[in-house]
Amino acid sequence: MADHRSALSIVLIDDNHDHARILQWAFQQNGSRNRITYFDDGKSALDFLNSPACDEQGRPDLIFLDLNLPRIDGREVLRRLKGEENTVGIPVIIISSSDREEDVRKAYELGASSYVSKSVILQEFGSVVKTFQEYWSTIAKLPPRK
Amino acid sequence: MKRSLPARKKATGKNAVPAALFEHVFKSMGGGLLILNGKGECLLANDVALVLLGKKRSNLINQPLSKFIPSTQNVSFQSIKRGRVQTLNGSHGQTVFLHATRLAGGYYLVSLAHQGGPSTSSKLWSFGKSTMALPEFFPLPGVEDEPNYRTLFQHSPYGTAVVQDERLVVANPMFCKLLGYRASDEVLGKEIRRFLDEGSRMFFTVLEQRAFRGETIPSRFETRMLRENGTSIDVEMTISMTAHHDVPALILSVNDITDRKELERRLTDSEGLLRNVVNSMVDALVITDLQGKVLDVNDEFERFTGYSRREAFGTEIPYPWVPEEDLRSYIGWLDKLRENNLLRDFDITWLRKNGDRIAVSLNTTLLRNSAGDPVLMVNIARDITERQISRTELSRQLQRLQVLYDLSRALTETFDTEEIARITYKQIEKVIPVDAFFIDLYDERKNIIHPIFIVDVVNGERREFDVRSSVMELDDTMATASVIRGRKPLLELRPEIPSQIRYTPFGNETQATASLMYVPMFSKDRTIGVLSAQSYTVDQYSQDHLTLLQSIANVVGIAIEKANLYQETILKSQEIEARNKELDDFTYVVSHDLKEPLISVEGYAKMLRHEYLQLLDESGREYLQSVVDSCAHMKRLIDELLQLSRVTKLAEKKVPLQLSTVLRDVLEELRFSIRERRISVVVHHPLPEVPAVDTHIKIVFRNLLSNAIKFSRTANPTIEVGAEVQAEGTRVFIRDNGIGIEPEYFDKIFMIFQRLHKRDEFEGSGAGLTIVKKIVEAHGGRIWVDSKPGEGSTFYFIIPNA
Repeated sequence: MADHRSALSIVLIDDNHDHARILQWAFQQNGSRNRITYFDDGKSALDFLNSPACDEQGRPDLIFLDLNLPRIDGREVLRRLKGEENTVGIPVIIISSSDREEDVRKAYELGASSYVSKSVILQEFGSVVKTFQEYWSTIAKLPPRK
Repeated sequence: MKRSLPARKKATGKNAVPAALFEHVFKSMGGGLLILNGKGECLLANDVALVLLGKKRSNLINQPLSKFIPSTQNVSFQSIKRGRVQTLNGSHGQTVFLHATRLAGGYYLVSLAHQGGPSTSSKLWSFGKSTMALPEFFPLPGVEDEPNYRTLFQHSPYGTAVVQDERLVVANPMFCKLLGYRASDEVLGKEIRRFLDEGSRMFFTVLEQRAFRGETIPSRFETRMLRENGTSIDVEMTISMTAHHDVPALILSVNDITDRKELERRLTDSEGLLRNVVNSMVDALVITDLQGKVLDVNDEFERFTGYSRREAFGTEIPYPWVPEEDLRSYIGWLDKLRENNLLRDFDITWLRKNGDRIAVSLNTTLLRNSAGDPVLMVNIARDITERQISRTELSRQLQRLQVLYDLSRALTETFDTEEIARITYKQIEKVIPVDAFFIDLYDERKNIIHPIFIVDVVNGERREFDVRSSVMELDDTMATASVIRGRKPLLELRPEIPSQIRYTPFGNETQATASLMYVPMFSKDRTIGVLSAQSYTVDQYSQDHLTLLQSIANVVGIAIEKANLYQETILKSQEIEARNKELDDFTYVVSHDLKEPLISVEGYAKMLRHEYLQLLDESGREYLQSVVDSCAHMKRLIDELLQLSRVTKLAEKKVPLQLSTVLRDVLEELRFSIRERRISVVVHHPLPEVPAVDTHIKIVFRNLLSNAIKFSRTANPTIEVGAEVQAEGTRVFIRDNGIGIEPEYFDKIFMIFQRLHKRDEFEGSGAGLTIVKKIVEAHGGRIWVDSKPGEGSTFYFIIPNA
């Protein structure tokens, strides 16, 4: 049961391929069967999340979003995710290399569920990812509007 | 006791203003107020009135006026009832102005005001007139009740308002009137910020915060407020604390001081220029206030009478240079000034300091300010024993003086060189016939001439040339060149108008002139340009004209230099500000960008260690560890850079900070390294409280203590911390008996990435002390080190008192 619960479908959006690769690796570290869908820009991630294909395979449980993205900036991606009926209920966790106060504040104002510095993930990646996984697989999320 | 009906009615409403608030507001108004009944007994008095009269409230209340104002002060209830403005000596010797208005019901509202701010009478150029304008009472019709605090508040001549949560909750009619609003509805509920002049907002915020924290604030200060029509107004403001519906609130009391400020501005600005005017006169000149007290004399006066400026300054009638037998007629002469603006040709004898008698012809005039009020008396004396002068000549001198005076006054109001030139031209026209006029500025470094204004009158038609952005090289054949190089005025008189038509350097056709004057303009000892007046009339100018033109040029030179300085200062401070911000932004962006690849390197190193550690041999693992260590080091560097760039960015609030608490926290953080090195830490209690930003002061202590720990030696390492309050602020010291620093590095250690030691000797990024310095300076303080190699170092820093 616990195993079943902890396998999450995760969308990762980060334009830095190195970071993405390391984070994906970190997500797999718990021996879990997390399914990770990766995008390196905001536009294609939004297209996917609003597509019928996404509906078919089931909405992701968690979105990990970098703020520093080309074309559509991470903040704008977050704003749109929180503005769409389809995606408003999915917890968005901001992963950023900045821990500047303004960035953190802005992210929470736009509706981010958490904000975590990339270097923290790397330092403690096992426990951080595990914490998120356990938290968001247990906690009740915003149900879709009927 | 009866209460006025509106007060009671409103008191039951939702946004009622309780009567107690009015009592508090009344007591803390910025000016003194008394309420007398029909018998002259004092019913109410506010705090300022008590201070001005030097009495306790119990000595005033229910006492007749004669009891608390001594009869020697010449103020009686009878005179008060007549509503005249009266003066008395205040408790600290200051002049207190007293004025009463009759309220309905037979009561009198007496306002007491004293000359606010530093007295302008100490200035040489005092206008002799009181700068205090008595406040105007705000009439409210139909209040028939016994005066209570609410009616006083409504009647108050001081604009008064209560601010809560940044918004106006109460405002009296005078407050609204000062700011140009018709009724209090228009201001209530609005943010106080929108009534403050942009430049004053920050200042107000600071005072407001201090008031709320219970710290002392200036009892009265000058600031600017914004009126409804967008203009601003100079006010004197008093802030005090109160509570409104149990929530802390601020009482603002404001007084219009526009007139006083305007006068002060003129006084300061015109001082330097006037001095120049006065000294350029060829006659002896005495300037006095309207009572005859000497404010200044010129160089010629000193030469003429033998009395120095210092001896003459401040003397009153009888002057030592007016003989006793002439005194009566001299005073009679001055009395005539009441009817006449200008008195001419009074023959009188003056006494030289050495006893010699000289016959002088005296011309006396009044100088008036822009409002037309007489402000100064000017006596011009000409020696008629030596030369006989035509009387018209003397009055011409007076006219010239007025022109110079007007000019210097007008020039203080602009910082625009073209405007300066235009004003100058207008004034010169009044005293010198002029057909062509120009002002050229000279750039010594580039050897170029930059005309700022050219006017030419051809066939009675005046043309002004557009000379913006035109420059020419200084050519030695030009008359201008000889004036600039020779630093002397030049008068050129041609027998007739040269026949050929000439062209200006800008291609305009111009007619040559017959009479030409060129005078240099100076700033200190540099020639900054040339001013020229020319005429088509043959033999138009005399040496006298040239002297006058030079006097004018002296004034203009100062004005232009002042304008240039002003522009330069503005530009420079903007530039510095922009550059600092740029640098901080740059530091931020660079350090942030550096972080990105570092995260990758660190991540891959982590992956390597987790997945492939078994494949590496001993040295491979060592290399990997080095990568991880280097990453950690680099991260620390970047974080410190980020921190550095943010010290100036974070406009956090300073709060009173217990140094002992901060120090305890930091020592707690560092306890492992302290224990490890067996360092004894001695703290000299008590440590005072300082106004500072908590997180920043922690960084200061953390960095300085880490340094002291890092550079400690093995034998009996000790660190001492202490602080003492000095005039400049709180001085904190952190002393170690470690390795010490060579004197030549005392400054260098505070520069970024300056390390005195190899990395493997002492760990550290090299930014720590730079951050400390920047933080201390951001608090308005300073930091320095005292050290002897081998004996230890002491770091001192000062955090100024709030």
